[in-house]
Amino acid sequence: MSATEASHSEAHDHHDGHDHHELSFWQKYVFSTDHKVIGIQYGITSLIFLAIGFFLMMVMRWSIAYPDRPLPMVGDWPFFNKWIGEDGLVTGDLYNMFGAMHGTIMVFLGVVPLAFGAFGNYVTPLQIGAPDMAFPRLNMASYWFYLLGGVLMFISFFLDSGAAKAGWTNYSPLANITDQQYRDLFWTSQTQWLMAMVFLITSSLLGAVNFITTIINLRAKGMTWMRLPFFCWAQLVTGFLLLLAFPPLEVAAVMQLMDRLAGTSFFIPTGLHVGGNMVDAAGGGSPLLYQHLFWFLGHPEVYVLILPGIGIVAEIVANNTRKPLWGYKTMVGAVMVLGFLSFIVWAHHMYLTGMGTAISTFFQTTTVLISIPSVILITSILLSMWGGSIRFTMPMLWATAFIPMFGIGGLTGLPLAFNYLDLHLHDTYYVIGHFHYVVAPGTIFALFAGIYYWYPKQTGRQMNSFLGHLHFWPSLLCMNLIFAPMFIQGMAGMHRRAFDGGAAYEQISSQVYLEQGHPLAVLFNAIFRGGADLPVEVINLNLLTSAGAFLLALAQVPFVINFFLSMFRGAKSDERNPWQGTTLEWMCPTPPPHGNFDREPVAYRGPYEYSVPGEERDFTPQFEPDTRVTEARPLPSLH
Amino acid sequence: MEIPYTVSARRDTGLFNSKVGIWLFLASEVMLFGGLFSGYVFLRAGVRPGVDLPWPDAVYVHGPFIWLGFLNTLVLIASSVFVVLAWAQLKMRRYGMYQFYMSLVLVCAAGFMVVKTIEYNSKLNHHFGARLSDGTLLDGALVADDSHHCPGDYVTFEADKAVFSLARTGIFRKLDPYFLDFAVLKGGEEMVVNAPGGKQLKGVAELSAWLEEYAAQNPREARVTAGFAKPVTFQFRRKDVFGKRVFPDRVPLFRGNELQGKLIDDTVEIEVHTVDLQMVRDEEKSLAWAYLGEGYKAGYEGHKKEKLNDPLHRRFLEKGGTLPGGQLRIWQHPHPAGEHGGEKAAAGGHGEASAAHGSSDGHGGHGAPVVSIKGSDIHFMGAHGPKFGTYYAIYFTMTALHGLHVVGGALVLAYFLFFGRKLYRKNPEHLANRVEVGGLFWHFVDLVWIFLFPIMYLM
Amino acid sequence: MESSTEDLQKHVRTYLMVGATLFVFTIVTVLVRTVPFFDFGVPGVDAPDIAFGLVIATFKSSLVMLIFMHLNHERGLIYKVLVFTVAFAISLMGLTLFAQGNPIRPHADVIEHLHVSDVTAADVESKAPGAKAEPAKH
Repeated sequence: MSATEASHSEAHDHHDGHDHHELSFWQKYVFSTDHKVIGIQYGITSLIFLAIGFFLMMVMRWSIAYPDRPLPMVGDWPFFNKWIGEDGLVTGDLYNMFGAMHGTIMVFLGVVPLAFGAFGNYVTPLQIGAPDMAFPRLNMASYWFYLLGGVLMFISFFLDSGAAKAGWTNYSPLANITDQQYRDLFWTSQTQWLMAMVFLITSSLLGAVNFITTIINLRAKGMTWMRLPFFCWAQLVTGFLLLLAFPPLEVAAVMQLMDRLAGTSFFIPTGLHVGGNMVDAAGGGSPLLYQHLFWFLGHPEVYVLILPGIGIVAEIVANNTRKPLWGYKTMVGAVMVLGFLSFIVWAHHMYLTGMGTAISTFFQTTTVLISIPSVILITSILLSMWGGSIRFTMPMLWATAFIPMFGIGGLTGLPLAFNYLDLHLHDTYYVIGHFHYVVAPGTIFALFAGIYYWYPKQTGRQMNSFLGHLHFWPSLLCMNLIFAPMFIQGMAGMHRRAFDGGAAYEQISSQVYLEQGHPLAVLFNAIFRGGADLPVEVINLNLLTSAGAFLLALAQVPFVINFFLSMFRGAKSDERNPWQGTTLEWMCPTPPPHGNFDREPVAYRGPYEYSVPGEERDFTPQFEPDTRVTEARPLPSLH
Repeated sequence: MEIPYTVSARRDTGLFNSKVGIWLFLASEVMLFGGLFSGYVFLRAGVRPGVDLPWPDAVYVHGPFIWLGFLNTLVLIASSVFVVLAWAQLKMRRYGMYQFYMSLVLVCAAGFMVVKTIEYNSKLNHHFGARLSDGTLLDGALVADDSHHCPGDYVTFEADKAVFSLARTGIFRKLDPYFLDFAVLKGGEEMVVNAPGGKQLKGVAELSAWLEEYAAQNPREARVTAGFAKPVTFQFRRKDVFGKRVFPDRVPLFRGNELQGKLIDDTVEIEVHTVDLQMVRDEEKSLAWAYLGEGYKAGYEGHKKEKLNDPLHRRFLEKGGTLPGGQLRIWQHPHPAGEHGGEKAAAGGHGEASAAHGSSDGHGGHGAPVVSIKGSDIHFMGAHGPKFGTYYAIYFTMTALHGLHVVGGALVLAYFLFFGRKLYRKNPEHLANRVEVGGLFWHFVDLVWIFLFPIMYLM
Repeated sequence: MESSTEDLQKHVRTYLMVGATLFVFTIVTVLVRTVPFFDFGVPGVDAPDIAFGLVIATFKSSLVMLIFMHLNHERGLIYKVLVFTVAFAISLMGLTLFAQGNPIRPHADVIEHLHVSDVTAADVESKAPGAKAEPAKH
């Protein structure tokens, strides 16, 4: 340990000298190598992309709910009128484009950068007691690759061909043959999607290398593995998922790029005809190869989306129940098992591709197995709340809501794991409901919790609680309005990709969900159909969902106001530890300076020492030396 | 602020940061190449006999390239030894020797890329094959002409009508009748179009202006048809044709444009080195003989008989074994020109180029037969580039990615060589660490090639 | 890895030996493919040739990994990372091939209906849009 100590004190000798020389504005805020600034850059960029993704979704929801009414307000926007149909209706093309880009933007440009890039960057080094990431310049490069990929993805909307429209999964051969009518295939939607993905993957790989190295090698003195906060464990496993699962997607992207630009036929089967003509390719390729490579990433990616969220919730629950996290070691074990298993479940996305019974059984088994560690994680968090004196602070509200929302998302996934049920549910709204419950009210609630939780660390001010409630309760309600009806529609068999909301498939969409005169039907009709006395068919639930989506957009307004207003007007919480937390990030000054700590961080104990019997306070931070504990413990009866 | 453990190792992990970093990066590289190798196996194992294009038979296709691959393997192994020696010299604090070995590494890297370029050039610019509509594969070289473009790339078409798309293109939303640029006008006469409504339009500029006007007046129309006053001859490269397919009476163009009229010429001249009948149901009736003539058919039969009489082959066939790779169904010209590169090919082919269509009985000892194949008989054709079947696709993708790794690694090592002195003076151990980390990457690149060489060249 | 100059000199000799071994095995692998006398099994490429080529390549690559990349004495952490990586790479290749080798086959009744006794998945697939599908006889 002496070497560690020596190098740390050495670091601090340098510290003063380095900190004083002034960085220019550009070095400090734009081309910064400081993990906190990069984290904030990631955060703001990804929030913008989340908003863009949300906007695309609202256009789609309008088309689903009112396929026969012109798009209000935005229909006249430049570039928008390029794709919009006669009479201002949303066309199938526009819907496909927005659908593909909604998925891409939300997953690759919104949630992952916010969960991994922003929170991981900002919080992880603070929690492990490191002065910065192990490779600060690589960290900066990682952000700029991400931004480049994002910008490329965004400008593809303004290309001649519009943006990508073959679904966020970009399945071949559909994605190969799209845009073939354009002479310059390079500047077309699908090609630019692939180029952008190559940048995003590069960014993720650099980020993953950096995170894992930082957690392995830059932990502060005394920060042993079992004293690592659970959030860092989640980030570590996420890092490994990104590191090892993204390269096969990069392979798939490169191969598809070759298919498009060099005329190869990796994914083009022999004899593929498009529009009655044989495609000019040698053939012999396999569309299934693409799906395997894609889903080899695709499934771990689900855990990349959710694990940082679980990490954040674990931190907040421990802090606000004032109790140690229940089963911390079990959770660490579970998260590692989860990470491992997530690599061998991918083909449950492919039950309908003609896989035989043996291989389907294998993937079905592993998929069911992976629910065990997920349930362990959620149960542990739930049990942590048992008997605690819970403070329902803003972060805690979101974290509490996360548990049932993620639970619904997770449990509705179980039927999809079984291939015989999947035959019916595949590609229906049920699937949409399932994974959105995991990611939207699941992960995104956890991310909101994180924003409310760590906001005071960066700004020194609390976010407004009234606006917070105004944000939280409508969001919770609307999320359920949006996604709960999808289960009903899905089980009725409604397909997920119909731009008219399923009107064309009348046999399915006109099934009656609520009989005429049913009290709920009356209520529904009173709100949405001017009191008409009609039964509610499954297609009518689209109205409910879309209304929920538009209301959800409104519900985000208080958040935006709160986010900016609280920077200047929020209640001051200048002290270092406003939440009375125990982990190392509450030790450094607020806001943390470049280099983070003003004295050497040392971890003396586990991360969640709340309400230790015999202690004066209900929290014993990791960074406080042991003195009082050793005195207090032998003499509990004195009090 | 300084990041700890950039030079010295952390006590409990025993590693300095960049070593952890490079091993993690290499782990992701293992997955990257793991994915590509999986693709290789998946595609190769997935070839359905008689349905998909078979993977090229190693003997005939790889033959000339084995030695290039072999050379490159040796070069990379040598460079791998040099890089580890350079590191050892640095550890012993012998900067001069370090520089020497590191320079050798860079020389090897350059050599590797030169050999790679030769090989790519030969495959992309010399070797050419056409798969005919009955499955016959005629493989060889394209007959070169004076221009840089291969003549097989051109289609000549006499149009008397044109369908103009009114779809607007580009973010500036202009109309794009691009194909008018490919008109070949004889004797300087102007292109004249009879527009609907009785107008006569002369030249491309006038036509474009009218199109804009027409499109503005008829926003709901997708296309407009207009006749040429006199038939106009167009010459296209195939990549400018939609789907690269022409028909006897029309040429579909991008964006819904189309020319209608008469196909003049879309033949392709190929110097045939190899006839591959693996995909043909009835060898006797292969289109190859229609083009090459009966003499070659007899040669093929003889060649097959010879193979069957070969004791090695016979032993396996008598044991009930089947020969891999369709060896019996491939015939190769005894002295194919340009087997080792491509320089000789053009010269060899030129003399015979006039020996057209089905009448090339008399091949000399020096020249391979040259045939002109009708476009309608060609199912698929191309240079031996990435397009030419899944083997070539994975070959080019993997070797090009590997080549990029070589270039990237060489750049990093060159940086350590040319800009290392300052760091060496300040902290030699830091430079040694960097070289070790760079070297680890370099060894990985070598490692990939150790597998690429046998699976791409020998199997 | 802190080593004295003598140790390093010894290492250098090892490196040169390993380099020479790699050269030799490269030559062996090429000879086996190019000289018919050394060919395994059937003339041309077949399973024994492929197996032999891969065994040599694996041997060569393990030499590079163990000696040049110092994996013969590395820290535990790196082995852990690599073991998982290799496991996942194998699962990617193995399960993908498993899926390829285990497609759905038409039910026995269906085959009977088609009056085709040896229908394989490949045959079914090959009746893709381009090829004219044989009408099922009932």
